[in-house]
Amino acid sequence: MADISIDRVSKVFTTARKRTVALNETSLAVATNEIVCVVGPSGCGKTTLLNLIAGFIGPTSGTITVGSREVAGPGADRAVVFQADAVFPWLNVGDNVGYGMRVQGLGRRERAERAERYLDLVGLAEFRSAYPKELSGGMRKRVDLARAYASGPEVLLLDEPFGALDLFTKEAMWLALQGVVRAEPKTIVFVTHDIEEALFLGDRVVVMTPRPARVHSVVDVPFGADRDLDLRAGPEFQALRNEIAHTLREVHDDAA
Amino acid sequence: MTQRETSGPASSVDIGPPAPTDPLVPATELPTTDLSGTERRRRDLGRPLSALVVLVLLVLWWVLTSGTETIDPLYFPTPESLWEAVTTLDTQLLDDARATLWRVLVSWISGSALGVGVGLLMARARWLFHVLNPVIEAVRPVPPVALIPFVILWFGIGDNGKIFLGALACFMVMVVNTTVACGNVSPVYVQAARSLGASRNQVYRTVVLPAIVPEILSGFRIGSALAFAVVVAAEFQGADEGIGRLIMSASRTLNTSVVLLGTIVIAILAVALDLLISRISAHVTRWSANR
Repeated sequence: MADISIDRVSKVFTTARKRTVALNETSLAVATNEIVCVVGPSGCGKTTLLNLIAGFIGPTSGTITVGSREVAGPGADRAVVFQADAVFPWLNVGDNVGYGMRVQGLGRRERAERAERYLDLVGLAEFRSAYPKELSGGMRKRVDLARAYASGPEVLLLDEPFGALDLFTKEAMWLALQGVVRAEPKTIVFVTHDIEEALFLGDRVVVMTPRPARVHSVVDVPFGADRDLDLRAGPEFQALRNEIAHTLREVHDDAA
Repeated sequence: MTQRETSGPASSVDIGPPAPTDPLVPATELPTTDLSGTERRRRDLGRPLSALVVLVLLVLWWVLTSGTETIDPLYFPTPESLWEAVTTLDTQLLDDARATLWRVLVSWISGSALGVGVGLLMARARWLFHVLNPVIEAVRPVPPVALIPFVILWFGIGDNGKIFLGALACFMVMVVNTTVACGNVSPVYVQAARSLGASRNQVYRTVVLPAIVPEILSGFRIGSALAFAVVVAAEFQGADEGIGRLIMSASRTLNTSVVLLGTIVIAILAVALDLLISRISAHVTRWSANR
């Protein structure tokens, strides 16, 4: 089981000068193998939420449970892909993808085999021996994704992973992610500020609001598993897009 | 024109074999640089240009001294007198060069290694940082040569004092360089490694250590130049052998050709060591995007 349960979680950052409520009494449940996309304006606590699930920071109050274990720090059951380039430049592509398995103590043979499989899934098999500096930004993101998958997590946490990519690369990355998820379903929390991205990839879209930073509403995405890029032109997609955009504008104006 | 034709294929050797299409080719055989046409042409021109500058300076030296006698040989020796100094000194020059190089290498290697080690510990344990940092910050701005009187008192005029000073200089450079490099490791790498299952110790070994290698290596280069400066300066103040002693005793008799010869020997040794380090570092950090 790899469901995520977030139960009345608050996170308060205190400095000498002020006290910031980054997340206020937020609850959310993500089912096993469900893809939940979290959208919201900056300052709504979506990255804080992800960092809490990842265990990089601890909640001020409330509990987060992944599977049956309460989150108490970062761990191999929850792999994270960041917006920033986190592929290790000193390792070649194959060794990057094998990194999680290496630190978890898997043997060289098994590492190579599994790395191979995930590199195949993201379409980078022939770049196994290349260094990251020889790859484009989109290719490095594929390496990052393959590395996260290959480490064998129960949950994948994506923090605006494609935010720095151009539109076409981004679309290619959506399809790449879709392909990997189809081959091996995972519980995914995907933070983004791109509504189209959220609707295209998510089973549900969580809309968050700033001040107080919490879940505003949850939108069920009715498109099933097989989605192609043309889906975005359909009336149903557009209607949902407008609805979410409207909500975001409203909460943004309220906050401003 | 013939020079360009011969330099073409020769320089294509330094930039490595073409990108492997066979995925079984190991990473070490990947090209370290991928130069475009213009860049390659620029590099082809670079070396002959540097050689030309050296040649022009040598000719200018001869013309101004022996050729036209514009410069009094007392102020700057002629090429002939320099050569005469080489032949007169004979094996003594080699002995002095060997003594200096030995002191530089020992002080550079021991000081740098100790500096990296202490720097790593300071980056690892905050309490150690707070214990050592005030001492290091206080000693760091002091030029090592200012300690020469003490060093002669403590160690005499043998090898040990000079090695101590050179090592101290390298140590200071590397402690600061290492702690700064550790602080510069992107937190994203650390977080990614943690979420892939690495323990704190594993993060240190598999992320922090490889990430700081380029900065450590550039510190080694700074340290090696500094070790030469400090060791030679210490030899000025008293030594039974060494290039610094050679220069100092020659300057007492206004033997400027030996003085010049000494500085040339130092330059050759320092450049050779620097070249060796930069060659090694180019290979070790071939993954770095800054190269």
